[in-house]
Amino acid sequence: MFQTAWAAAAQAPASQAPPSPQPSGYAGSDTCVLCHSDQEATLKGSPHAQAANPRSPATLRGCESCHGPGQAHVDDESKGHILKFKSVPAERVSEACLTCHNRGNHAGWEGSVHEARNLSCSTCHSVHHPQSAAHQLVKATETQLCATCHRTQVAKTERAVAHMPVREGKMACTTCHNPHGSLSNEKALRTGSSVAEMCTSCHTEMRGPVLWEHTPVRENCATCHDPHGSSNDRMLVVRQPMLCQRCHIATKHPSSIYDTDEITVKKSNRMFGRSCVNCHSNVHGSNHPSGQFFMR
Amino acid sequence: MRIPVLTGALLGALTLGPPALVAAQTPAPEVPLPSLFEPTWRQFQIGGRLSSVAGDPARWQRYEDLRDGLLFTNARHAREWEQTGQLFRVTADNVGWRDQRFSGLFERAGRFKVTGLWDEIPQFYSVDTRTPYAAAGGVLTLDDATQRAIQAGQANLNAYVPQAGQFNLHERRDIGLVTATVAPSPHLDLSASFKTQRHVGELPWGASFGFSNDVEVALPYTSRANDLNVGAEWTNQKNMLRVAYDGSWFQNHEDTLVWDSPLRLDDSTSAPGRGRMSLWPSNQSQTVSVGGFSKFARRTQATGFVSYGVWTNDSPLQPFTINSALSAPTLPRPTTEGNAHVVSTNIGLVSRPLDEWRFSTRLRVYDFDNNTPRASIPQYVSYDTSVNTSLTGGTYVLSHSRTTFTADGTWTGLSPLALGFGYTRNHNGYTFRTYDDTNEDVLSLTADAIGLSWATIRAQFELADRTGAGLNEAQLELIGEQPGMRHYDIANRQRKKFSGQVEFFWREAWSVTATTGLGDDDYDDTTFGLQDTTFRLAGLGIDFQRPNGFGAGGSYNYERYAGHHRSRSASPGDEFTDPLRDWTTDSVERVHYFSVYLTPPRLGRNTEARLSYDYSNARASYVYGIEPGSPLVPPNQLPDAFNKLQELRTEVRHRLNRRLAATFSYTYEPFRVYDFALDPSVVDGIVQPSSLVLGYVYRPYTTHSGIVSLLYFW
Repeated sequence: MFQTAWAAAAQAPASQAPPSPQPSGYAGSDTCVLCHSDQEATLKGSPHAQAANPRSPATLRGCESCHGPGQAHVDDESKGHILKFKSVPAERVSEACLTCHNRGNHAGWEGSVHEARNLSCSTCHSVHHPQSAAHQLVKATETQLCATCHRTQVAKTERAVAHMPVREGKMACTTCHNPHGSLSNEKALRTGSSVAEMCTSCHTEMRGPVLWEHTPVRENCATCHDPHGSSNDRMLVVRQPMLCQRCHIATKHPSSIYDTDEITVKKSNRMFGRSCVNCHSNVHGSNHPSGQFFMR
Repeated sequence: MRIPVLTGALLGALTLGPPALVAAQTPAPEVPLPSLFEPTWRQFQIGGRLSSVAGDPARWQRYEDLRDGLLFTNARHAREWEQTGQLFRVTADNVGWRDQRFSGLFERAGRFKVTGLWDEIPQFYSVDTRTPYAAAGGVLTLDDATQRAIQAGQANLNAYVPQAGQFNLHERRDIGLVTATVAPSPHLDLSASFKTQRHVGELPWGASFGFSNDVEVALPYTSRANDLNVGAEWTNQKNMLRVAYDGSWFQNHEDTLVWDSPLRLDDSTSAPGRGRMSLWPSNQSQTVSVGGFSKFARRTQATGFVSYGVWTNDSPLQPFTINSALSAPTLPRPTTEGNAHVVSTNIGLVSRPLDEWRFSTRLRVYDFDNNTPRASIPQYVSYDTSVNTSLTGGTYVLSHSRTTFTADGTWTGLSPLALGFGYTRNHNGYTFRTYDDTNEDVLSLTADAIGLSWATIRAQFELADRTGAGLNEAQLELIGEQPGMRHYDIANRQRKKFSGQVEFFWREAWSVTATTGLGDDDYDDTTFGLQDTTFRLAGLGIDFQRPNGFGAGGSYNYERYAGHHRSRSASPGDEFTDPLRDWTTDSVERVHYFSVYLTPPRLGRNTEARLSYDYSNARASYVYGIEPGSPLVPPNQLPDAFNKLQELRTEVRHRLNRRLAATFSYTYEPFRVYDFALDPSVVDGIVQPSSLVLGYVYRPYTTHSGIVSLLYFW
């Protein structure tokens, strides 16, 4: 008999109990690896082969934890009657994985954007042939994986002003997003219950409430900022003063045209540097009694 | 250009090598060893970095410490006890540098897990900014004699130039995180985490006394945020229940900025000698939440989540002004008394009653109820300069709510093609905005084919119509805005969006991906403000992979974003209603992004290489238009702004023996930028006609950077 990882799991001291006889319909992993030893080898060292983990398939039904009872498959000369993940609909794949992965980060899968678009766990993960160092992804890195579909967002991280520090590798897509869906937030955001709550989970200084509030700040940071990156200072969706002038056209300076002469001839402090924010520096809200216009 | 010299210590380390490494040499293995680019859990890398930087080294480094010197990085160690399922891991990167990072993990699989992280993230702005201000905490002072001379008309701002010392403008975020998860039973997880973030340094900041006296300072910043989370999650095959508490405390240790006026020393009734402003106030939030799901017959699952949070800020209110010559109004109250209650509810139902049908609905309710008492402020002090009458008479307490109902269905009768349709109703409510409510109807269609051996297809079309209710134009007129102006985040809007992607596979070696996207937002009812925006996307990517490790690929993306905005340059009176004074801005940004990579097969027995090149070129134009016969001065159009970043990376690793490898990496990174507001030709010194600034600009750079190192495995 082959001494396999699955077999070793069945003998692991974690259970401290003799292996129970196979229930009806199950063939046992030792039988599986008689033909599928190559697949068994790919699991070595992976979470699914953790013999001492009471939640691992290694301590449950081995191969049949995921692929289902295999005795009929063994008995079938055409080798059907087994769950083959590459040839079943997406929801069948996910259903099998969710048997165990139904908590923590995965709890929001049902109803998530990815689930609704008919993706399955195996769209992004490979249990037997992962390409990544962590999380058993089908691509080498998380960014490469997400770029498969979200190329535009990933390309924005290469702009002049990108979100710190994604390009440098200390943040990744999943720092903000949970691709398995979110119980609490929109856009599969990992934290909080709104875009602003997600942003202020790190940028806590902006959270408030403050005495004088700026409406887009309170309601949605993405009204002015593109969190994936932009060509404009502070990741603004459009540079200043044009961005501010989309909402502020009151008499006097908000409704003035700021052309080349304002820069080269007049050197207007409403245009150079950070433009409007040269004076309205507390644009995210002011806690000063004279802060009505965010200048104090 | 600067070309530092590799240190003698590094040369010694590279040429001699530690005795242990020599002793560890073993005969060449008979079977191929894993790739040197595959991370292992028993390794470290030691070497040195040498760079040549022409231009702006701060923008090149940005969020990394890339100075020359010795490197100890990429250190990984793991120990696993297979019999007990225990695992211990530690990592260390960039040890001793300002972007160093350490992490650790100890777990017994399925029983408990404890992790730790220490991460330092710098942000470099500029190495050659200059300022005459001397900092002592949150107080920035200038030379009194110079202030006095300028006040007396005996000098001007240029007197500060020789006093302005060059300094390195940067800040840093240090993050410490500890998490613990315990599984006392197969169905129960208990978790806790504590994160502390220290934010320290200086950042460029506007500190103005008005249009004729604008100041840019290096704002001293020291803050700490502590976050605590505890939770419990119970799960079985059909149900999950999670309860959690999240607490967050932000403490700003420099919540006030006081800075001298460069134009005068003494306070007067028309101008101050110094200014004072509030910075981000300390605040905290406490949130409790309950979430869970339950599975029913016919593959139906109900999901629910509800949270209740309280956000507070009770920082003391500063006096209206620091100007001692002014008679400041009385404070409305001593502290902010900021208080908001946040309730979030999210309920979903997913059901697959028939094999080919999937239905889901979701109701999301978010209510931000700001309970901060309104502060009556009939008068305020503008720029610490003069007492003004407030147009609003005091603060406006902003609250908002969102209710989103979504229902969608998917039919998979032509499997693997999945056709989807959905309807969403967004209802938003506001206080103190031009609309009391907005309602949006969104229809969406999707088509996805995933799981084919030869292709993946995804497409989505979205049609949305948003309409406001309870229009309050008087509120706009109160603050001097045009009544026909609409804020684009709540204005009436018609939206059309399409995105599609097709990916073909061939012989498990080739994949070709084509993507496209386009969309329009039209604000037809908006007289002034944003009129419309459009986007167009197109991309093509090709990848080739061989089992022997050879890989190559490339992708090209084109993006175009455009917006059209209308305004009116007018003073109160007849001008205010004169349509000839209207003007428009057409903004267009075009982006070309190109990326290639090459992973050649192993060169000989022991040498491997990687090569990649990225090119991003973004160019933006802003074109003003005026009406025929307009009394406005014809605008002198702005030049295009652009930024172009290229990055060529190559790395070669050569295995010396089973335990040791030599590596060489080289990065070439030219960055070209022109921003008409932050260009050195515009901000050409710290003294501008009406401003005293830092000289913080956008400058290009070209870098060549190399790392020579040894990679040791055990």
